[in-house]
Amino acid sequence: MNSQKPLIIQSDRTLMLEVGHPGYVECRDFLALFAELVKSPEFIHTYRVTPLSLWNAAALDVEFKKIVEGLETFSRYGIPSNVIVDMREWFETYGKLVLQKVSQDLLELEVKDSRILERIINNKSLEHFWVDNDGLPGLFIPQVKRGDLKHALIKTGYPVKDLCGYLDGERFDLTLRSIDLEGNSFAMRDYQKEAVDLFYCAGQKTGGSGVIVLPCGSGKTIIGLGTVAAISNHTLIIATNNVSVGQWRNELLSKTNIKDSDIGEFTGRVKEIKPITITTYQMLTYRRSKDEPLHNLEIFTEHNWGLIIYDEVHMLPAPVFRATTAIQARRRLGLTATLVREDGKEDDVFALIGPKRYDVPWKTLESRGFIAQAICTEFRVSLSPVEELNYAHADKRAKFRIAAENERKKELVCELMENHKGENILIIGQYISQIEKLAKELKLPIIMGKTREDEREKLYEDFRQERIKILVVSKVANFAVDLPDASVMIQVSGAFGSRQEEAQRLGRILRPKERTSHFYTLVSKGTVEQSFGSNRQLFLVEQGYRYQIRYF
Amino acid sequence: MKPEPNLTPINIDKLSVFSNKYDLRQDLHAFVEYVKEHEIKRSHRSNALPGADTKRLAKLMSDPFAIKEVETDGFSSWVNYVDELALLLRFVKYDNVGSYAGYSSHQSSFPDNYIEFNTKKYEEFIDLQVLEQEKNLLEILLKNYFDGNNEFYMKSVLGRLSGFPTWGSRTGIMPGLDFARGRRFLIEILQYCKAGVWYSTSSLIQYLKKHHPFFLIPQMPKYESKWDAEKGRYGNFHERTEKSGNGTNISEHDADAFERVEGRYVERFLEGLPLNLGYIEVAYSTKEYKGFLPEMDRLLAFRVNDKFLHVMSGEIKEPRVIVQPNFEIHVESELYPARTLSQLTKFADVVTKDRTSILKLQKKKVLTQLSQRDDLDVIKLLENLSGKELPQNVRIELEEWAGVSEAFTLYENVVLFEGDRELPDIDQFTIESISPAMRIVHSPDRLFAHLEQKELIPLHIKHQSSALTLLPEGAHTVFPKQEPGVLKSKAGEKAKVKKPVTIKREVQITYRFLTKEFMEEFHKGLIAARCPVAVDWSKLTLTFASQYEPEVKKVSNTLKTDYAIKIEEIA
Repeated sequence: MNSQKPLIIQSDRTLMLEVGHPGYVECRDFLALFAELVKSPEFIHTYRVTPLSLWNAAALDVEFKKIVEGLETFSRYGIPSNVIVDMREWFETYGKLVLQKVSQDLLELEVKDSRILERIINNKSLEHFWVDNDGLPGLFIPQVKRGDLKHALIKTGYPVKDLCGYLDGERFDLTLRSIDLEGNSFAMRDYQKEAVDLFYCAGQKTGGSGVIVLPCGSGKTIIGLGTVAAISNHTLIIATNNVSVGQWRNELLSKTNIKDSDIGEFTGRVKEIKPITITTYQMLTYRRSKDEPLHNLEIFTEHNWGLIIYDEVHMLPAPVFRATTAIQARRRLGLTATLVREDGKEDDVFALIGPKRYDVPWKTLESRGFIAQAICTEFRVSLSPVEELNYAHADKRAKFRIAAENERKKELVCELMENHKGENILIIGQYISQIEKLAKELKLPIIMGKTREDEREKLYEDFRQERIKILVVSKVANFAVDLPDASVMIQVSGAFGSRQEEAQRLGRILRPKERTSHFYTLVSKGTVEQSFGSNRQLFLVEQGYRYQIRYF
Repeated sequence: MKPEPNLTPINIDKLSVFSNKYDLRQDLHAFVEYVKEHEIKRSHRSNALPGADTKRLAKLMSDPFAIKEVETDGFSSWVNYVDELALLLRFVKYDNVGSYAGYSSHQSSFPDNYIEFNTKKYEEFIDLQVLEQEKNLLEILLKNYFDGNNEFYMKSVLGRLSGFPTWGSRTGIMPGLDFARGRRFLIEILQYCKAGVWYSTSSLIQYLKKHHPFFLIPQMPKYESKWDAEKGRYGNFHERTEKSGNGTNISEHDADAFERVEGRYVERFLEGLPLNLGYIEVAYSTKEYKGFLPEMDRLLAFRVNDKFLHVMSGEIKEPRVIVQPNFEIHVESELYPARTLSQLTKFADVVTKDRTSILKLQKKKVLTQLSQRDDLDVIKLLENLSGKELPQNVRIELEEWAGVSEAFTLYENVVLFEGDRELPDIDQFTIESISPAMRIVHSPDRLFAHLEQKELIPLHIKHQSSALTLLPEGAHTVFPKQEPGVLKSKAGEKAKVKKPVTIKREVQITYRFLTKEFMEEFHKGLIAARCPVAVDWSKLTLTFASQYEPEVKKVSNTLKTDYAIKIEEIA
């Protein structure tokens, strides 16, 4: 056993990296080239090598020889012989299928391996793609089927190197400001610049589509703005909800030279197409009845976009995926904190949006001060004797509610507010009656779904400007609420089952600051709420956060 | 002192590489654990493992090939090999000699040959350090040969090369050969190899020929009889062609005699013990073989791995245990960590078995262990194994689980008795007094009857499995009573308070008769059977509640002695 080396390679191609090892940083940066980080609890980080992770590496021109050399350098034990054989086979699949433009309407699929060619020709599910090109030998495909073919091929295990290039969208010059509208100096951070450069590839065919993976709070929106500026074409931005639409608009106005009149919103409130148009996934998939076609998806093709940005690409719904097959000639940028999709459709993202172009581990950003350090604490709060009895007699659904609304949580909230006096605190809850009561009793401002837009904006602004230090919010704050100075989050109740909800809530306090951020979760001791909380506990520790359990 | 072998590295691009994907240690323990839990009777005639057990065992093996082999051939050579090894190590016991049962066949029979698990031997073994376990295993395999059961005659479990014809395999030089010594010698030679480098087998054979020509067959072998001595050193080995069975003799004076005998042995040794133990990989020629049988110059290359060199140099460390904050336990070990895993699987489920085996702590398993062993301290045990404090969240959870197991005492077949005054004459039913008004009591039905007799108007409440039932509004109790709406308004603010309404449903059955006479007779029968029935003589119908259907059927059956009754459904 050579413990001088930090990596253990398992025969199922899982890679275990020891965090406390002196070679950790170097090895981690090496693994980021071709493996997916699966989980990162305190001592051992787990990576997985998959066909997709290797195709991503191949798409970024990482040499296989270097991968093997690196594995030999870092591996504590001999590499299981099947690992390299499998990896080589997967890696070499990429680039064997190249999609090239023959004419404006016709593409050719070049297959460099006769064995694969044979399989593709004989695959009945692919037959309908091939068209005749004046009797010339080769596999020819109509331009309109570019996305469908890539999607179908990846489902059969063959990634396509797409060198057909992109259509130039309508020109729209946009530059980043050096001083933002609030008067702060502004420049992209080095990793943000690097991400934009790797995506854009100086306008070459090899770039222009793909996904950038960065943790919450690391400025993915800024990368979006940088990309818009680099391409300077009409751009469609798809965000997760209306609040996020507002955030994109504010960031565009604050950090670029764009005029307000050049930004359009295509939402339930406003429907306008401008050089930079922001919409939501919900809006794109909206229809009055199930039988109606998804009219709003026509926005993709009805306008000459030079770039489409998919914010939080891991949430991309299936109809938008399908619509994306039709716009493969447009540059496409996906932004996300995790490539892991709850539905397991990571390969769809690879085929239709593009390969992972850039990825920085959050620990790197944390150590460089670009995101805040966070400590997660779960407080287990006993129920009162009366609540205990009610809990024992309640049905399953009511049990969760009784546990969530534990009266003693209020005392703890007061104590935590006292402990973090002077800091910006967000109190978030699942149940309206609970947070309304809490806000009323503690005389705190509150934002809920029913809060009027202007009132909501005012409260956000007051919180940003630190005119108010504590804000109670419902789950509307899960996504894209820009609260830069919140350093404490107290979660009085939650769904606790959703990994995304947890990540998003935590993301609210990860923006860089001098002090350590705290994420408190209050659960009722010995109840279903505590059991549900174990999912959250697992998720957070596997993300690498320090997790404490305390009693109240 | 041996000169260091100067083996030649070789390019294996055009060769067919074979690696053993089984982990013999893991499979051995899986086999033993299975046998421990099952009563297995070996087959009467062939002493083989039963088909169903073979299938289950194959599924437990570390390479899925075992189960594929069972599905196609009905047996798995690997499972049989592991079975033999478990017997050699005396982890299990069964008759492998048999007795002649008087059949026409000369073969032995094995009546009622059950496999017995030898707890003591097995526990002694897994209590050893992993390196010691490995050395025991190696020693057993080095010494495992008898009669014709050696590399010359028997094909290895994972090997491709056939053996010499077995006739005469118990004569000549064979009884005097020390295979253990020869194998040990070759293992020592292999220690000079660099891990990961492919060496040519012929260079090893040439090295042996030049420097150790008598490593296996002595220059002057011991013979048991003069006839054996007449055969000479190579008298046991006969080459043959595909067509001729008898073959050609090999003369000791032939220039290539060593390659044809010891050389063949070396090839078969490499695809035997070291391959089975996962110490080496081998590479075979892909060209069609046209020479004399058994094949030679087929296993052209081999390479040893780190594990082999570490075992030989004694560098194998004890398993390293890391408890992660996500409740995973990582057990890092170059060799299968049988003891550590057997300790940990009591508390955790195995997720992966590999260089790092991963287990996940399971609350249910921990609680079961805690309930069975009062002195068990899971935290201490895990901290001892890992050599450091557990992550704070894991420690707290384990403390809480331990607390749960201590907080409850399980009483079976008892009920909770609650009364609003002292009732001394129920002491005979009392198991535990909780408070003056509350007790745990046995024989609830007898107690209920007893209280009714005393005119105390008892209430017997049966709770559901998912939640406690609310007590009636008028009951004297400390527990919540039925107050419609209170809980629901707490549980869901949008849920309306609804008035409880009960609708009782009753199904009536009507028999429509075609003749008044038969109806009268049927009606009489019903009256005799005290069955309430509504009669409509004008419509010739009898109507009764479905609950009386059995009585009506009885009446109908009685009348069947005189009538052929047919009941038709009216659509």
